[in-house]
Amino acid sequence: MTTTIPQIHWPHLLPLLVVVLGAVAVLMWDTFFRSRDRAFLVGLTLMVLASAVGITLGSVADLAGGSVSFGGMYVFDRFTGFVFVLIMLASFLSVLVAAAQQSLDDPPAGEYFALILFATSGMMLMASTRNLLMIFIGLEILSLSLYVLAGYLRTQAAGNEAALKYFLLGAFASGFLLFGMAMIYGAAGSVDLAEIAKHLNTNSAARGPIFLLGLGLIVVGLGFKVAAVPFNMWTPDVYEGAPTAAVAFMSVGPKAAAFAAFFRIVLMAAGYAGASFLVVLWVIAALTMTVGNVGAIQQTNIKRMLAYSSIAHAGYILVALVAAQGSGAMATAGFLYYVLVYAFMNIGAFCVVVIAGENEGERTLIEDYAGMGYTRPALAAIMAIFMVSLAGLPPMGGFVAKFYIFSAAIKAGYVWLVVLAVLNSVISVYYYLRLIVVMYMQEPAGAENQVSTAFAGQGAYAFAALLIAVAGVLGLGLFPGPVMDFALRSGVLFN
Amino acid sequence: MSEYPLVTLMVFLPLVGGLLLLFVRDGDEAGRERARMFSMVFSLAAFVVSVLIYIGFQENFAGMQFLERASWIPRFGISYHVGLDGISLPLILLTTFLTPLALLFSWKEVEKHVRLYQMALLFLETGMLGVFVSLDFFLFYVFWEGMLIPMYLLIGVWGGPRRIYASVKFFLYTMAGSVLMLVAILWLYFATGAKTFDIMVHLSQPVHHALQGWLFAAFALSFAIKVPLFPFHTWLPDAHVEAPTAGSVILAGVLLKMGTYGLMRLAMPLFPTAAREFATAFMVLAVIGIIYGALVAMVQDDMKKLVAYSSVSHLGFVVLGLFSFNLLGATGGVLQMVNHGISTGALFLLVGMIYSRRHTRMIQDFGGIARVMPVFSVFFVIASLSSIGLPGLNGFVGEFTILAGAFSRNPVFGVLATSGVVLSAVYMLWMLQRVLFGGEPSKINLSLRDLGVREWCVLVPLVVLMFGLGLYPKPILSKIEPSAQAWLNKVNRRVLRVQSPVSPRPRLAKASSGEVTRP
Repeated sequence: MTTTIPQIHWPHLLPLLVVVLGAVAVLMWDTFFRSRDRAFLVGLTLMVLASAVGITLGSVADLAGGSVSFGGMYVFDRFTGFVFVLIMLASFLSVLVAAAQQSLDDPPAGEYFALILFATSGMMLMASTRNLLMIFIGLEILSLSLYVLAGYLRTQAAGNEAALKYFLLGAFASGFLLFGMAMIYGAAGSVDLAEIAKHLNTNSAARGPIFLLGLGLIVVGLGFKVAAVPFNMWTPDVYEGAPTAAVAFMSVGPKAAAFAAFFRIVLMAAGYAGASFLVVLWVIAALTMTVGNVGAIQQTNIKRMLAYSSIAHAGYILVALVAAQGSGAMATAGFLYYVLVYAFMNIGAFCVVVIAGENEGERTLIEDYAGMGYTRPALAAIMAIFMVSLAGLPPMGGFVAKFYIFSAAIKAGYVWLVVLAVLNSVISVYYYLRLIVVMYMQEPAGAENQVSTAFAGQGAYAFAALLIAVAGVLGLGLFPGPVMDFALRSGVLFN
Repeated sequence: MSEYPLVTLMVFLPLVGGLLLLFVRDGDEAGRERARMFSMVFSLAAFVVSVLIYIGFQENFAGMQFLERASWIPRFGISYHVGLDGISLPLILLTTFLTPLALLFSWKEVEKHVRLYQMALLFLETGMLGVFVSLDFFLFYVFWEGMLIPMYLLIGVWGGPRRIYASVKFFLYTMAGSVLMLVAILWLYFATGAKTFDIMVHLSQPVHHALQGWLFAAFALSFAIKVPLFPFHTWLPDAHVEAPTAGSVILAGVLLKMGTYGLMRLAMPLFPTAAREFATAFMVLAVIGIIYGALVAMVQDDMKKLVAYSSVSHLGFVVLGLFSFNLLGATGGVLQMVNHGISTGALFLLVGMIYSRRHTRMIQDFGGIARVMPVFSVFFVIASLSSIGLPGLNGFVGEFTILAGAFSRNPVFGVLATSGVVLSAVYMLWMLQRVLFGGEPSKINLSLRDLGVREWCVLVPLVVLMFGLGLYPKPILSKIEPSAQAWLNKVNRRVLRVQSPVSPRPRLAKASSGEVTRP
């Protein structure tokens, strides 16, 4: 009996290794040196992420097709590369936002940044494998870190409640996911998506109810992570209770990772599930958009509003998922572009929430923003840019992102789903604009009439985060060409 | 046609001015004055450029002129493609002409958040000009939607007591229409297989008539809301009443024309068969709008609301002219767009002037004003007569040509629409009588000042134009006519071309854009 050692492409593993080793380094440094020097840890974390992004971009630049390591457990292609950059960018911004939130540093501790890096590595695993078990392992690495981050302010009851809720529901969802994978293994005899596809292709009996049930359970598990309706119940509570910086983190990267895995599954195996599977996704997409947007209308707390808004955005991305098979690379590219813009605008918006609440505890009611356009003009203008972009209005990146996804969906023939989606964006305009109404059309409350410069006392971190985010939103809105092209070339999976 | 990118310069001058305003501090009165001067300079510069374009415009050439093109998102066939013809030129001039006047009027009227106000007006100007010159769907849509935000701020920040309700309603209404247009644009893109968002290419390619119905409906709904065509007009009175005066002027003067312009530039020539099929429906709605708007205007006791409803009535004439499908109707339609901008703009300014003195617009609060404010009254009477369409003033030329066009198409519509002219005389003259002439001025009205120098400066250019276009419309008509004729040919010729039998499936892989010839 001969054993073949599976191929390993070390250079392509490098980004993941850098992040994992970086996470260990940050944790160790904090543990052994107890330097209490937060700036150093922040800098180290940013360095780790930046160098991993650099390595990824370097290897993607001259990548022909892709590489498969460990027999399919690690796949590095352009799609992986784009998602890597996306995830690490979101983490990078989240680290800046976390550094700007002073309350996270009381008592001073460095494990926050180590946890972000561990979660990042989990997300990267999810995005870079065609092996169902690796998706699960990645998801668990990510989730366990997120549970801790959600309850990071351990003296606050709301944070604890959020973390516990997230953990309990998340554990259930993981169970569903694993159960689904087991069923698919039972039906197709493999946990490797390529093998599964091969088996289903030759063996029509395998496409029976067990396979479908397995696929359905996977949809439940991943649907929970991306907050798709009806698995969205945890989102508002967790977003409201968890520290704002942690919410900024969990609102983008994990979604990108879960959707990346989702896209691989749908593109590689779900074709054998027949048209009914797409109908299910269609309905979930439609419900997710609608519930998210309608739910957001009545919120008075900005974090809850952004939670529902994130549900709605997951719905728009689901539109791309529905169209993934029918539109060629376009829907996948649309997803990539969308999440990239979403990273900038959503983390940016949370960064503003952090800054606005920094001086007098967390200011999270929408009415707290009354008159901010005149008391803190720069901050309010930036928030307005993010809101306009989230609403999908030109000339912001959010518009181009929606344009991309809707184009793909129409190309694939889902005109009515797109009609539903654009009508949903009209609903969303109402609540995004409400923040602009409050900031610019209402007078500031009470004694805050004096004008203050936006960033005084917030330090360079918040400034840097907002600068990057605004540049991203405007850049991707006005000059979308190169990135759109790059996304389109990244939209083809390598097997 | 021109070595200099005049169109780009004109469109983006206000935007640049608005962005530079960020560096002008408006903390004290001197700063506010600087901000006002600054924005005035930029809007006047845009006006000067538009006059240069007018001078360089070739009259006998019906196609697009001053074309500029730059690649933007090549993969999707999206480019920065701008240009103008005799249909857009008058509207461009109207825009660049009204914006400085609006700024001048607001000089003393707006004291709150001056810099932001100026920025909003300048951004708005860029958006409006952009809509009129865009020759690429993507670009068009960016301007079309992007323009909503400054208008929304204008109403919402500087408006009246119910400003927030009005601004949100304005936004949601317009947005609801335009997102469906976006779907239609994307559908058009994939269904024709043209692989380009270039409007000129799509205009030269017939769309399969099985598709035309839905696509036309989506485009037309978006534009009908903007016009606003009855029954999509309910956002208009709210927006007008709550908007600050300058906002109303721009809204009535230019924004509403974007709806009729869109019908003319996109909805009708892109989908001529469907436009023909829907023509009667549109004419019916237009006539209902004309009469309904006039009747509702008649019973208003708020002057601003009266003028707002008169807009519904007047824009009905424009739509009627366009859907008459003849040269008179089309030419008159374009002319009426300009005329309405001038006369209604003047009326809103006049109402704003008296409102800033008395802080009321209720007709019953006035009476006998002519004795106290004779100059104001003269201007008011001229503007009203222009709006009614008295021969010798601009309104007459446009309305007469439209009615002539409508008569030759279908006398019933002509007759019904003509009653709208009569009704407009009723409500306008009745208002004049109650505000200016009827009764003795009350004690509080006796102390009203007559117009100041700044207000003279705002009104005189408008009145000059009213007489100018009324007595000698040729300089503008001669520019409109060739393009209107070309437009008409396109609409009519293509009706015949698409009636050949084709398979009911949309052609997904036809035609490269290479076969298209461009002027």
